[in-house]
Amino acid sequence: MNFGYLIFVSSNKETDYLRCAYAAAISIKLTQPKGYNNVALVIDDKSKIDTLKSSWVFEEVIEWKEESFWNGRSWMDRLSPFENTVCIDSDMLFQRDISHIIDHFVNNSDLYVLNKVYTYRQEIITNDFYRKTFTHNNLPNLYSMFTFFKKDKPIASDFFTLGRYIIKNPIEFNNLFLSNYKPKILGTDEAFALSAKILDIDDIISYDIDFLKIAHMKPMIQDWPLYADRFNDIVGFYVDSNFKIKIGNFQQTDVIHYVEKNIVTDEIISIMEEILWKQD
Amino acid sequence: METGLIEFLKNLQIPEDEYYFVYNEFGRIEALHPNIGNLDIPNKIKVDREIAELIFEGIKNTDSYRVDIISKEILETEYKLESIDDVLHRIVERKWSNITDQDILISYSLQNKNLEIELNAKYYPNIWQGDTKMFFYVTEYNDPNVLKEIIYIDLYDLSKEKFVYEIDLPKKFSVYTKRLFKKYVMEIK
Repeated sequence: MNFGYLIFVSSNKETDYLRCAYAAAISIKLTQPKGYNNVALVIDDKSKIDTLKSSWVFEEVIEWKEESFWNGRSWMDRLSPFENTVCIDSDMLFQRDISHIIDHFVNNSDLYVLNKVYTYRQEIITNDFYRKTFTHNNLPNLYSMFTFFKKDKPIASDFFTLGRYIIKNPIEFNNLFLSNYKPKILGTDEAFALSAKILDIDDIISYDIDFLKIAHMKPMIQDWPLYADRFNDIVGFYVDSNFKIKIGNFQQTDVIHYVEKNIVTDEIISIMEEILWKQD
Repeated sequence: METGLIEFLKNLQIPEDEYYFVYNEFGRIEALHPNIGNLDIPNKIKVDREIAELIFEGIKNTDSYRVDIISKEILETEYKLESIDDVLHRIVERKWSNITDQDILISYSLQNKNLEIELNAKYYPNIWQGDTKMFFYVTEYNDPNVLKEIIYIDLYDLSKEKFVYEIDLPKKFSVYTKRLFKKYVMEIK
C-alpha cells in the first residue's frame, strides 16, 4: 500500500507556516509506523526547506506556485505523489498511531472528509460560532483539515474538480447557494461542503466515525462561558520533554489542530527534534 | 438566454447589511444600527459584521468598544480578562527567549543545586509594599500540573539582595509565576 500525508504551505510575512508543517511532519514521524509516516510538502519556494535541521522528514517536496495558499489545497488530488493520501492542515500535531484508521479508510473509502471535531476535553463540538454559513445554508459540516482520498477515483476527481470550480467562482456560488449567510471568504471548507452537497455525496464521503478525535482549538467553541480571541489566552499549551501535550490539565491523546500558529515555538521544535534524532 | 443568466448571476451583487456605531463627542458608543449609511447622522462609523454579530449575540456589548475621536478608529476598551499567561506565566530559558534587560532573573546551578532569584537593580530604589509576595512554582518541564516546589519571596527583601534557595532539580524543569513584572528569564547552568 502506498500512503502518505500531504501538507500545503506558502510564504507569509506574519506566519511561519513552514515551521508548523515541519512540526506536523516530525510528529507524524514520531507517532506513525513505517508505511504510514510518509509526508509530502507542497510549497511555493522549495529553497526555504534548507532552513530546517531535518528536512528529510518530508519524503517529497513539491514546488508549486500556481495558486495562493488557501486555494492551493483544492488541488490536493492533482499534486499528491501518493496512491492513498490524507491531506492535513499544517497546524496539526499527532499524539498517537492512527494507522488503523488509515487502514479503515483505505479498505472502505475512495474519499473521506472529516465531519466531526472535538474540544480539548474530547467533547464533540456542536457550537456553530464559526460555521454560520454551514448552518444557515444547510451545508454538510465538513472539515477539510483531514481529507482522505485515493488517486484517480471518479468520486474524488468529481469532488475536487467541482471544489476548484467553486473556489474560482465565489460570487456565483455565494449568490446561488449561500445567500442565507454568505461567508467572508469562500474557503476550502465551504467549497468542499458545497461540492459534496451539489454532487449529493455527503453521506458517502462523510459518514460518522468515533475513532478519529481531532481537538479543534478555535477558542469560541471550547464551551467556555467567556469570549476569547485565542485559546491560549484561557488555557495553557504544554509540551513536555517526551512530546506529550497537555492543554490546560487535559492530556491530549489523538490529533490536535492548534490553530494558533505561533504556539509552536523553537523550543518545542527542539524537543521534537531531540526525540526524533534519538529515534533514528 | 442561458449565457445571459450566467452573466447576470456572475455580476449580481446582493447588498449586504451594513452596520454602524453611533458615538458621542467622547467616542463612547451609544448605539449599533444596521443600514444607516445613507442617513444624515453625525458621529457614525461603519463596523465589521463580525463585531456587530458579537454584540447582537450578547457575547460583547457596546461598552467593549470605543471610537478614537482623532483617528476615527474603532478600538477595544481596556476591559479584558487576564490571559492565562499573566496568571501562570512560564519563565522561558534565555536561549529560547529574546528578552534583554529582564526584570527578574532565575538562575539554577546544576552543580551547586542553588536556585537564585534576582530583581533587576534598576528597581532597587523603588519602595515596595511590605507584604507584596512573589510566588514561584517549580514544576516538571513545561507541565505546571506536576508541582515540585513552591517558593515565595517578599518583593521588599528581593529589592535588597538576591534570593538563594537550595533545591535538587533535574536538567529540565520549569518555573511558573503570576506576573508582577513584564520580563522574566531563566538560566540553567
